[in-house]
Amino acid sequence: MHYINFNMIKKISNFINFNKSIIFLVFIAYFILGFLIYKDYGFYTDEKFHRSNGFFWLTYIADFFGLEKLKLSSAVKMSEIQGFTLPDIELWNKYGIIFDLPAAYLEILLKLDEPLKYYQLRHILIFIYFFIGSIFFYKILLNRFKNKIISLLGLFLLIITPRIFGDSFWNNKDIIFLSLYIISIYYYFKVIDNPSNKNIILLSLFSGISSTIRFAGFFIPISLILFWLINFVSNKKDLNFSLVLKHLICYFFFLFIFWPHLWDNTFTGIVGSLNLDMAWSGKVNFLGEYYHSNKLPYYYLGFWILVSTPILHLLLFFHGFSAYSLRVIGRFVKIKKDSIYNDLWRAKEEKKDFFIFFNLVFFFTGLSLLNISLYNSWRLAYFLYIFIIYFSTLSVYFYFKKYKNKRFINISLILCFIILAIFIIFRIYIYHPYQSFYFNFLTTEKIKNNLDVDYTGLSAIEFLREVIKNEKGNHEIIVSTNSWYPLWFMHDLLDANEKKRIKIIVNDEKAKADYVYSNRVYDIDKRYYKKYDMPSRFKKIKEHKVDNTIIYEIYKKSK
Amino acid sequence: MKLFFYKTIFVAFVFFITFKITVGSTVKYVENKIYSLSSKENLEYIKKKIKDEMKVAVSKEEYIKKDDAILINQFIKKIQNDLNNQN
Repeated sequence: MHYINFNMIKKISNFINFNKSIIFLVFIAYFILGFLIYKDYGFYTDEKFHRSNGFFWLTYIADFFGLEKLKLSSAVKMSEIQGFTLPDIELWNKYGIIFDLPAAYLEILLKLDEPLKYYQLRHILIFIYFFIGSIFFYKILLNRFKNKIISLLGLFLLIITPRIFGDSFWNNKDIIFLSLYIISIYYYFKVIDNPSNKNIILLSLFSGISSTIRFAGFFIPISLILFWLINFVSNKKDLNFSLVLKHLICYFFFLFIFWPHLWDNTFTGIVGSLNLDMAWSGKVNFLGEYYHSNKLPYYYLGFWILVSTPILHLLLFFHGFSAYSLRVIGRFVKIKKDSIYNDLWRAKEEKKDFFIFFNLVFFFTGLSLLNISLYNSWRLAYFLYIFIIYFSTLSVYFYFKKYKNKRFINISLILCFIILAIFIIFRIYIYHPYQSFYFNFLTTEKIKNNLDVDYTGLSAIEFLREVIKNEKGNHEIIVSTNSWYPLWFMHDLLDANEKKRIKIIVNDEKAKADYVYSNRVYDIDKRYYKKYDMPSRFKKIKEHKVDNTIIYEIYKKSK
Repeated sequence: MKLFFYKTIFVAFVFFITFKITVGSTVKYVENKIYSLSSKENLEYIKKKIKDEMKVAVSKEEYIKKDDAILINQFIKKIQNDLNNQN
């Protein structure tokens, strides 16, 4: 018996070596942390629409497969979702189902009828998607750098990126896309290592699914074609055309399967998804000036990245990116007619770096220079963090490589990294639960308050609860908004007693309200319109600030 | 073939960036100016300015100086005369 136990322990300790257990512990700790705090976050304006989207497609699919009971439950749930500012689901059902459909199904399966409960379920699901994405991010780094410590440091950089950390508890589009794009990149790397059918199918599956969330997912097949083209002109045979063809066939197959919008109208569905009518039609406040979302200055994206990314990430990124760019430029300058190597990379590892470099340059220049609608800070381009952090990790890798035999420098670098990471964690703590509105410590107060901050109204629920808490008694409290925000979305999330006390009225009638909420986001240039002028009887009683950033304002009517 | 391919891509990319940063940004600037001039906000702004100016005019005891008033009056009369003579 003792012998068996000893053997078992030995086997287990062989299986889970020290490094592995640390990584395992990191993931477990991160998951527990997420599980403990996911209820702290506010709610997003589009969540109601996406819940409706989930039930719309669940009803459709249940009908398709003849699941009458499920169809009925789903249809009932869908009919209950109403609101005068809610987009018509029959017209705007273009979104993919990879998140909305399982969320809707789980809501029925778990018999969740309280709004707060089912929205919280959606939030924990978003976190789970991101958690899986972060595991794959670690696998990407391990695949590329073959070093557990470097990969772990890279993983840390991802999960302590404040805006990603915050959004991973509520952002049901950009975070889901980011997670799926990470998984697609992982399988892209696997295809580079071993272009087997299994890897091609998995790459096609995840790139197809990610394309159903954001159009940017189409870049995976495009880049595979481009890589084949580079190989073709260089007479290299590590990527043949049949492989590209297989990928394209599988890609469109999975795109079709996971995007029921294409089931009835395949071609018009794809073309229609390119139409950006769903983009924010209001104005975007950028440094105090109001712009149309597709007429923003070219530096909009770059500026946002600089002010909302921690300095540690930026420093490492600039080092990693510039070092790699110099290498690629060097390779480019030295291209010869005949060479035994590939022209822009030597080994597979460099090819992976080139793929990430290509992604970053393509998306950054495209999003900055092609008048693509950007709004709500730069959340639509948050997937660029994958490439930013990849190059930051590459920088760490370069340092480790350079000081390979200098133990003291290596330890000092890790210590330096840990200290700076602790500083970021401290700032994440300060911002809680508004990490989604993070600015780095170099950003001035003037800049922070001349940008759209709480664009999704995450703070609205806190405002309602605060007002109820401060107004003692059982009388009715009339509240309104003085910004672009459908506050009535939040009414469902209050408990029964709170609901009875709160009456929400529209912005036009705000003069009748007792309290007025503003998330300081406007669809028009408020300097020229009276729409957002506060009636003279109202006095600002609170400016909720985090790190000198105004998140929301409360006005109260004077008696 | 290979060198041509790379050079074409490189030149196209550099051309695109240079064009966008130089000509493109100027076009964008002009576009934004036209857009903002014809925007509802600007029209509202002009309307507000005119109203403010009218309010100022109403509140002032003498909005147009006597010399200017005589000159404008003479000018209007001249125009009226010429218009009548044409008929």
